[in-house]
Amino acid sequence: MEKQFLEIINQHQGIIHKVCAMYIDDLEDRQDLFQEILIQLWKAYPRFRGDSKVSTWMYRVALNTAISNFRKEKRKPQKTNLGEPIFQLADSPYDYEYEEKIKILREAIHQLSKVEKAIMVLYLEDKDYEEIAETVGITQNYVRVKMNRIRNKLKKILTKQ
Amino acid sequence: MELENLKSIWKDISKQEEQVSRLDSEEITSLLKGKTQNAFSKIKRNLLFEVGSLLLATIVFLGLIISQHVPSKIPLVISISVVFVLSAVYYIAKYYQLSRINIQADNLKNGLKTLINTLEKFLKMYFIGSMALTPASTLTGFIYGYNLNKQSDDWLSEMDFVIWSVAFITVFLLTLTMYPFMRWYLHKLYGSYVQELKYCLTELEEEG
Repeated sequence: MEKQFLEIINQHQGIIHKVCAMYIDDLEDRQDLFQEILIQLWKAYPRFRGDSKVSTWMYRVALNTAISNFRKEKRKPQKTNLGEPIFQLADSPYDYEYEEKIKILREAIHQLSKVEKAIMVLYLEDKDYEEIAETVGITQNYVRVKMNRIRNKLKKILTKQ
Repeated sequence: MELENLKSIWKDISKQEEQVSRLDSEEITSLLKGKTQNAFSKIKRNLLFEVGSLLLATIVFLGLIISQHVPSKIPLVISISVVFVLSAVYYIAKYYQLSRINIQADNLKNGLKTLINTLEKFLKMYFIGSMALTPASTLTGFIYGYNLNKQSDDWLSEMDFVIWSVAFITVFLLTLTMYPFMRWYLHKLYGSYVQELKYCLTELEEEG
């Protein structure tokens, strides 16, 4: 079973990285969340019967874990530092325009609630409304409503740039 | 920049992020050996601690009383031990009940509902349990401590009105102090966490 599980994780571990990047800025905290999601996936794996796609199941577990992530408040100020990289980029020639876009994306993500982040990560991964609704547990109609709200929220942020 | 642009940036970044942070099977296996930090696991660890403390207290209490050979103290010993052991059994039952819950593979809304419901039940149980055990164990400790060196079978009737009054006032004051303390302690542990979860659930239920 462990071998099968490791194969799945090797194939789809990008899902965990994406969810972690969506919810956590601090690199150390993100590694903790990665481990937590991994453990929860391992615990949930014996009950996974393949009724849904592996990726859908992984998103469910990862998003549930991220939203209910229980972290002790750090003693240091929890100020969001937009200068800190939310994504660890590979060594590449410095591209100011690209960096600027990343900064905007980062700022946009910071404005979203935990639920909106869940919907957003699924949307950014090209999931259709049916799959988003199924994963989040709301109707497709409400997914549309939420997406409109997110769009409007982001539009305000993006027009400020 | 439009939302579609964000999508393409997200995909680029995610790709790079995955390349940088990608773990191999060995690293994944090593991470799986770690201890989970989620709320349920913390509650389960708390429950095990409570069970351990109750059983240890029962054993120590029984050992002390038995070593004194005072037959009239036996009903008291039995009553207190039964309360402690029943509390421990109840906590063990709760532990296994929690172990069977699997919110992670459910959708977000149902997962949140189960989590909030379980946390609230646990906090209530923990609060009531602590508030009940505080006077019971304090009164027992007081009576036992007062009669520690008395070997007579009539030790209970030797406690006069003043001593009983002091015992009850002490228990009352301690319970009174415990009430705000327990409320503060539980709020500090899980209060803002439960609030945050409820906020998420409300957002998902706004639809209706």
